[in-house]
Amino acid sequence: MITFELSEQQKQIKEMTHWFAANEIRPISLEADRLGYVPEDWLEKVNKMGIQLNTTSLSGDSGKSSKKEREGNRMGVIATEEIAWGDPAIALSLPGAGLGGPPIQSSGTKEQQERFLSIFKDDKARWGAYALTEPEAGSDASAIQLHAKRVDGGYLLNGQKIFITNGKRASWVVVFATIDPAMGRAGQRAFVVEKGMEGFSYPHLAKKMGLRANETAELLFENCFVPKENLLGGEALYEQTNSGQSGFSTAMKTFDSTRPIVASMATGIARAAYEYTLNIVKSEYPKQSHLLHQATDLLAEMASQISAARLLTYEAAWKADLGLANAKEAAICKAYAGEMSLKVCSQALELLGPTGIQGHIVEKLYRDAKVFDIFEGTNEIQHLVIARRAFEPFGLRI
Amino acid sequence: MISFQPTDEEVAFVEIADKFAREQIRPNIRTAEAKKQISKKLIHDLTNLGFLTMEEPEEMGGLELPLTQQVQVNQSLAFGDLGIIQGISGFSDGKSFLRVFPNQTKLKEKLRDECTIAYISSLTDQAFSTLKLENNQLTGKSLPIRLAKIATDFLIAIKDEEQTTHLVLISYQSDKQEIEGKSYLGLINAEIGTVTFNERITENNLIAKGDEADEIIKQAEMRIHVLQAAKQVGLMQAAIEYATEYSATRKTFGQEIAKFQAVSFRISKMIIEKQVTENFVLEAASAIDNFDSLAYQKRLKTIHQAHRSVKYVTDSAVQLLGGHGFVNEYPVEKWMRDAQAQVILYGNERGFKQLYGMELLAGDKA
Repeated sequence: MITFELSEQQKQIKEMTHWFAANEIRPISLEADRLGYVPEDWLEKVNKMGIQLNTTSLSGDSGKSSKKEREGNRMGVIATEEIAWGDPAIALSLPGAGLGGPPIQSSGTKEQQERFLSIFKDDKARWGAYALTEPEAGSDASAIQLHAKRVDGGYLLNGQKIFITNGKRASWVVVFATIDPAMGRAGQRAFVVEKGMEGFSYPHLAKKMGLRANETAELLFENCFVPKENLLGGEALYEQTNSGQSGFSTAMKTFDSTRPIVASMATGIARAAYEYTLNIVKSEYPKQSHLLHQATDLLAEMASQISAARLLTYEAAWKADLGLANAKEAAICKAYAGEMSLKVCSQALELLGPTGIQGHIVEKLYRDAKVFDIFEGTNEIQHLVIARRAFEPFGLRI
Repeated sequence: MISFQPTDEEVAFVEIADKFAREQIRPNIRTAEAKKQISKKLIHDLTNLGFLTMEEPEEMGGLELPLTQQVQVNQSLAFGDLGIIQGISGFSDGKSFLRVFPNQTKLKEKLRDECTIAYISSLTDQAFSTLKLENNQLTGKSLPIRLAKIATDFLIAIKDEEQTTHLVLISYQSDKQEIEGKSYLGLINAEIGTVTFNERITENNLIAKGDEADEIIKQAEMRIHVLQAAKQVGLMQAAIEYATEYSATRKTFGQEIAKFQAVSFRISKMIIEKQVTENFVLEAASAIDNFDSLAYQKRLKTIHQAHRSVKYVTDSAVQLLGGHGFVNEYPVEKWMRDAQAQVILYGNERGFKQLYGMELLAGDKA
């Protein structure tokens, strides 16, 4: 049945995460932005509270163990919108498997899932990360150059990754590499590279216009030996004839579950900017003025776009929960929400006027929002994905 | 729990509507427009399938379906052609008044057995309308409305000189009301016309007054706007499908035009616009079905979005077909005209946005 009512459990998650965002995240938001990092003691504290950015449930369980309808993806986007409402940079810095979780959940062996995902259960704050982007391979993930050479007992990795969220502090990073660039996508493999492995270093942390409190690392691999046990899915998976499995398919599959999460973050940012501005308009704008009339128009535009993004995101998450193909819906929500978030923040700044330049969280949210139209696939890539799906029935590959 | 899963019954009903739209409505659109007439067989078949009584209460012999179900069917049928659907009395706005009217028996007594109720909303100051209610006398000419030329009854929402809302029902009598109408823009089959009245309002034709009338109008218009928005989604879907197929087969500079990103991205944006509106429609319909306190707000958001999107999507379809889009051999030019006419009839876009903004300022969250 079509319904837009949150279940009791979903309501509880929403309320709980909103409480956390309002009372624990928002108070340190501007300070963390100025510092350029989230204080370690705060991260340890929230980890002890059991708050993590674990997206592993997003790719879902097998569904075989229970007849109950899965709702992990919907719960994930509901909670993430609230946390990002508090502060998106802090949301991305929360301990947990982060974007590295879904590929391990979807493509890892049971042993790998246990080994890499169980570390988040203890009291110490830990992170996972996901490394796909390279200096010469951004939107075109099939062009990655980081090389994996087969050696006795494992692989030697050589190359570089950039713009890796939590890449330095992560206990492990899912790294995409190619065993032979000439093989294209079929030659790609995903490895779990663990912190401290020889030849694995972090030469640089990026300085950014937004999300300043969140760590964005460059990763360097210099003859970095990775045991074959860390090849995601194991060697047998790739040796099966016509398995169709490659690191590329793992990376793409990951996007189907992470794009709705990113879209929900973008929605949370926009909502934070909108709600902040709505209160200011209510209290500061002269009543019955033409200024208020104009503001009403803009506020309606903002609110409408926010709810549009949320519904698109819910739809993509709902399909994922049902185990239905959702690449198109994931791209739609990401394309819409990413663009919308910046637009709403800009409209909020417009309503605040020159006072919005300093001291208001909206200017920070505006700086934060931009990247949501870029990472996890740019807006343009999302449009390509959507259009490809549209032209598929006509036998046309664009 | 949030779910976009229609019930089995809804799926079955929509499948029938979809098949009917593709096989019975779509092939008839140019003939119907040229003749300015919808075939009787088409109406007969729609009646037999139960599509024309979805909104009517059971007490009046209707199916009294939830709005969530109706919007899905409306969307499917309008995919065939919005112009034809808008010209069928079974889809009249008056039916939503039948649905929400508190005393349906009383209303039924005032109506003929097979009635077509055209709705005239004249509550706010309108340019070009001279309709007024003074000293219980309704006089003047309405704005153009749908189904005016085949209406058996007119339901009019209007304020008197003391700003009290009246909801009056006036039966059509050829010697009493003058109906004029020539449509050139779009929705040519929608029997659009203006109606001139000079009518004494008595207890006999007064349906409701004051707060009661305001509430009935509010409830009915919520349903009307969401149902109309659903039809606009169907129209968008038609335009998208047509433009996508055309882009996949039309070649320029040696390759399918779909391979040019300017084209494929436009298709993608059309899809997103349609999807946003479709979700809004479902959300608003569900809110109305469940007596959600935010239903009014959601309806404003939905109709505003639907108006904006349908113009963008149908214009884009013409644009993607280029010169072919402009000529009658292809349906997209008709759909663009229909979209613009629809938006004018159920406008205005800015007004809805303004009302939505005022609701937000009054207190609710996005």
